[in-house]
Amino acid sequence: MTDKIDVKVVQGILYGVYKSLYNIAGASSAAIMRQAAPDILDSLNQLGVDFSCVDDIQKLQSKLGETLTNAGACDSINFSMEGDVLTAKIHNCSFYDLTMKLKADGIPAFGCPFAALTIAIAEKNLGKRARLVHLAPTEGGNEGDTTLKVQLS
Amino acid sequence: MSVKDVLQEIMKTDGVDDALIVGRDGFVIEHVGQLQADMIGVAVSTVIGAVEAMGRTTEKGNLFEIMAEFDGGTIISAPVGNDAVLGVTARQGGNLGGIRFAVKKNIEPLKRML
Repeated sequence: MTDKIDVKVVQGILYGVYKSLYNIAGASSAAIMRQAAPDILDSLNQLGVDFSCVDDIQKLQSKLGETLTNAGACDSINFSMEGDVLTAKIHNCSFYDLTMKLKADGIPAFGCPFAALTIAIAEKNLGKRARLVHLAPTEGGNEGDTTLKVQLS
Repeated sequence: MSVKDVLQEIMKTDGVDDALIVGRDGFVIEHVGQLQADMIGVAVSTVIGAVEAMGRTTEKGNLFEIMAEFDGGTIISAPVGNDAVLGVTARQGGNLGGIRFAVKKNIEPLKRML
């Protein structure tokens, strides 16, 4: 079995799944992603991507950044913490075209894997309550650059 | 008056076990009661979204309320504007008329608070 798949194929599949989910659940699709995120974490764990070492914000930033960058989900991620808001500046996001295509169809980026994993790890490993408060192309950034903000409480 | 005060007011209605406000993303904003709020939050938000979609498909307009009856009780959910949902769980034999009234009465105040 091959261990690589063309990102365009993944985007095509995800586009269909996300669009259907949005047609079924509308604005509440984000709640489905919230429910899916812990299962994504478990599945990644079974595949050898273990986040159990993450027990503070710094480790969350380094481990998540390293994992998603190594997986080819983006070129790099820069995290910063201001008050209770964790900001991730994602450079050259592999899901950018998909996000823009969904947006053009009036569908918000509820399925963002960066946001889902950040929220799931913060809630499971750090015992925080976490909520996505911002997800948009980075102002003044290059195409593919995205900024997400997660509020932790 | 806070969101929690409104939920506690709803809790005074005969038969109510839990009252909660959740965001459309399933995030529990406020909860009063005993159940595990995170899981109800996701369920309440998802069901509202699905039923609203059904309403759009059948051109029935805006959704006011959903009432789901089970062997062991009833769950009432109602949209609070575009961004939140009110969920109320009630035990079997609770005063459903009173609970529905309490939900309707408090939607507008909750909208103003959120």
